[in-house]
Amino acid sequence: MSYAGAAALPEPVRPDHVPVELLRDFDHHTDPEFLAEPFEYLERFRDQRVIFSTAWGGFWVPTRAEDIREAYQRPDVFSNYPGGLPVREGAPPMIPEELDPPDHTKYRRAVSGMFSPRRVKELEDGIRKLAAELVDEASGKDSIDLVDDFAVPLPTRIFMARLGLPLENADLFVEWNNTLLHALGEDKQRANHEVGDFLRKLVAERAANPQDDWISEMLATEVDGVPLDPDTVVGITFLFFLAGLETVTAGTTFAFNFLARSPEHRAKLAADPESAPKAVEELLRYFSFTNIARRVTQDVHFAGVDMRAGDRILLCNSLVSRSPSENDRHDVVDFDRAAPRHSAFGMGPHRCLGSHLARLELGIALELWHKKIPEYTVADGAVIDMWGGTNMAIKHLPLKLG
Amino acid sequence: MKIEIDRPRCEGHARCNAIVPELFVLDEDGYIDTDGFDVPPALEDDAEVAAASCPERVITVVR
Repeated sequence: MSYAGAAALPEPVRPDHVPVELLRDFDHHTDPEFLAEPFEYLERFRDQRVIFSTAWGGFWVPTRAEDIREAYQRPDVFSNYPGGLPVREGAPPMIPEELDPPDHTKYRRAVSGMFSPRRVKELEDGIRKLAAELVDEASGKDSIDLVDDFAVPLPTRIFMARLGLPLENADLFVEWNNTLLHALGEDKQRANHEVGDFLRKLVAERAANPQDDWISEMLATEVDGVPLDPDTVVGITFLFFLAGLETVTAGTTFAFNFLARSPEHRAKLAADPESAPKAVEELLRYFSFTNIARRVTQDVHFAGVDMRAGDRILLCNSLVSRSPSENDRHDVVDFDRAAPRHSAFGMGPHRCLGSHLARLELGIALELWHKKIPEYTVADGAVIDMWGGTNMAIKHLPLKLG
Repeated sequence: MKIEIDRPRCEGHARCNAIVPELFVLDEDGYIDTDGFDVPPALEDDAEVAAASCPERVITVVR
């Protein structure tokens, strides 16, 4: 995986309708200054209600929580299709993510039951078993890469179990996932086609021989009285694949990168591992690592500026979660916070479908880890390198255990 | 104390339900299954926290 396909970044754009004082050279994919401290970097935009990045074809970035919330809640004006920034090409359409209401609503409701808090809870024992195995493996070592040895295998194994796939495919899944999320250009197109082919074959197999897994359940689900067709199930599974693996990896890694450097928070969690779900909520708030693109469908006055149909807008969730308007002491990590309000999972009709599963996975990961491995630090001399883009993520996190 | 919920705008974050499951009841899909209710005095503090936790800001406390 690499940025090889994007050796030439697009030329900066300065559209006539954008006030000059709002132009910024903001590249959330490759700018080393942003990638060094992305959350802090975004805060520098807060003195403007909205800025316009000249990178990647140009895009607006609203900075106020209430504006970002409104954009999420008005999918007629801020459409989710086509997705990505730059726009995703060559892939099967992601359903329901890349549909807008009313079509979105039908498909969303068809699959949301599978991810309701109640249904997700039923997966808890299986997730605990997979997480305990990984914690046991880690606890026997002096040092690990948290990403390769824990944060990647955990959601990958959970996902594969829910698709009824053997674990020997795990490495291939991890490589596809990394390429789809982080590469730009040819590598990404290739992976899009490979994953599409793999999923079409898998869905055909499950259609012939249903099992107790997500794909079989979706094939038996009806929308408007008609079962979901195999192509739609491929699209939905593709979205699960893209949205469900690296996000949990990223959330886990941001959490551990913080905990490994904060003895006080680590000790609190180790003293009371069952409090992990509260810690997870606060860590999701403080490290809201997704930046979600929307397309402006009509000329609109929004966030104090005139946006044009066809403009793109980037909703940086950290700007909601760290906003002074959303939480008292917004710049403090407090595991005892009664109700951290955040948009780590986005807002509006496209709110992350897997959010309850992600919360469960992260909570179990932190609980079981701190029961067994209460003491750890970032390895001496480790340099933290980050992926940018839609899903920001730490590439590797070498930890010294014990 | 009363809770009012702008139910069509619920997006299923279920933060309210995580805090006071007995009041903020969810439907089969995980979305809120009530337009509002009277809050028993013993649960007023928790209900207030639950209302504040809504990322969509569709839960209102009425006194």
